Amino acid sequence: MDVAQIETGRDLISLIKRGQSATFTRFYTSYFQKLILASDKYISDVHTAEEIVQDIFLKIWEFPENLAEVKSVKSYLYRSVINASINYTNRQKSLEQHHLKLATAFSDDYLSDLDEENEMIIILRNEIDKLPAQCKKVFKLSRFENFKYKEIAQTLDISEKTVENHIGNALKVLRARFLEDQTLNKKGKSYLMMMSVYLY
Amino acid sequence: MVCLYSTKPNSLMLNQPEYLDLIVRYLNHPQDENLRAAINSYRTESAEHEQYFHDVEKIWNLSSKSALLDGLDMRQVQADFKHELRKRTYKLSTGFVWLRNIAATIILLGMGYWLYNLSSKPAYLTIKTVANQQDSVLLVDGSKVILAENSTVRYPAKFAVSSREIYLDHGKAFFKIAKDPKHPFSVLMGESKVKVLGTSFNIDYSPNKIDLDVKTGRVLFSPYKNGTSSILIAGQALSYNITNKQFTTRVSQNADAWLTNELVFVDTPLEEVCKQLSSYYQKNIILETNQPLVKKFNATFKSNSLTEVLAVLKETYGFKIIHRKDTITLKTPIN
Repeated sequence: MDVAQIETGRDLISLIKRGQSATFTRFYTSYFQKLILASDKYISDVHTAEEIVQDIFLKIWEFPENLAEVKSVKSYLYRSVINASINYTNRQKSLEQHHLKLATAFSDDYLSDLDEENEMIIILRNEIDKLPAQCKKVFKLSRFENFKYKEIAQTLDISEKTVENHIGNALKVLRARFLEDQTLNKKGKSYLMMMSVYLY
Repeated sequence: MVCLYSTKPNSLMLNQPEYLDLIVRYLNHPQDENLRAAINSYRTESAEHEQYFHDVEKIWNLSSKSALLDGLDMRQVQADFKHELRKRTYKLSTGFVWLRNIAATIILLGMGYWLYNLSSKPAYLTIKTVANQQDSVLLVDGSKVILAENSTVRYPAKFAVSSREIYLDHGKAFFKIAKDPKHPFSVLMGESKVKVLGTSFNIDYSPNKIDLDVKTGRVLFSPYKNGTSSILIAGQALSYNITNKQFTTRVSQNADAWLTNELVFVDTPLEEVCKQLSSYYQKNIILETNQPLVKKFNATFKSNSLTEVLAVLKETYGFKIIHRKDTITLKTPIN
């Protein structure tokens, strides 16, 4: 079964009962980065987040029956990760912090939108990696490390104007590639939509 | 504060690369009043400018979020997981596999018989409302349909195997559809069809026109078989004229006010406010003005009377309100 076709709890249950650990691993990998992004709002330490996500998938592997009623595995995973992250934070902080809303209140549609945004972040990260070396360095210092232009100029021993140019260049390239990737994704999705229209 | 530019930027004089610089300066210094003014005038100049700004701002914001992914070594993540899985996997004995296959065959035969019974077309039930009446029905899949007055919906007690279909024969209803990607849900109106996976939306179906407003999720609207379809997302709406087969798309506002008794206006132009008030309060409310009004209205009204809403408008814009037999006119004062 293709990883993209896993939608409901029963899909996962049948996969796990047949012992398809390679497929399950690919499924895990396909969701991993997106779930880490989701937990980031609640946990600052990425290693803890990694453990939380891994634990949730391992528990699913051991007790797949728990997912029998799950209609959307995507929503289930997001809610589980967010809940676990909130519970972890609550345990770390004082009791006053317990007011954080549990993720069961998040609707499927909200989580679907969140998932789409996370997919965009992953695409963007890959495109940033493809930027030319110096341009990438400057862009990362600005957006990842929050350096001011002056600080970047000093760190890399270049002029502020050069920094400005690199940032502008990066955004131009990223915007072009990003829109391209989006249209490709959309084309794929809208092709499926068109097919379903013709079947009617 | 360090000024990174020597003259005040004037949008009309700049071309593309300088627009980008302006936008980046603004994103780096969002509190700067001059930059904010310049950006606002740039954005309001055209839809392309707004889209360009939106794209750059999006990339700016999402790229800092992507920093988080930089620290992840996906190969290590995968290897760790495989290792953990191996610790928790038990090999099935061949005897057990054979027994499982027999069980599967028996289930398949049973299912075949059950599907055979379901293959005939489901019988449809009708729910109908008259004047001043609202009603609702909970469908077998958990979806809910709420009917406004003078509306008729036909639905099956049990859905067909591969899809869920109901008919809106006429009137207005709000649909809250349970998500089930394997069984797309369709609302049929004459030749037209709205197809969804799981979402909530409002349809107003009259002999000449279909008004579709999407509240959450996404729908696919097909006007007639083999007609060009449109996809609408949350917050979008379309009006389809059945006679001349024309569409217009618009932003969705207050289509379900009849149900929620709440009117929400966000940057709504006054003409549109009058249109929506007319529709909700069932009165003809018109705006009479000899000045070009670019005013945008922001307010939320919950279960308020028309008198209260008009009082707010009068306070806000200084209108003179003229009540005639069939119309209420909002007139701008002559300065």
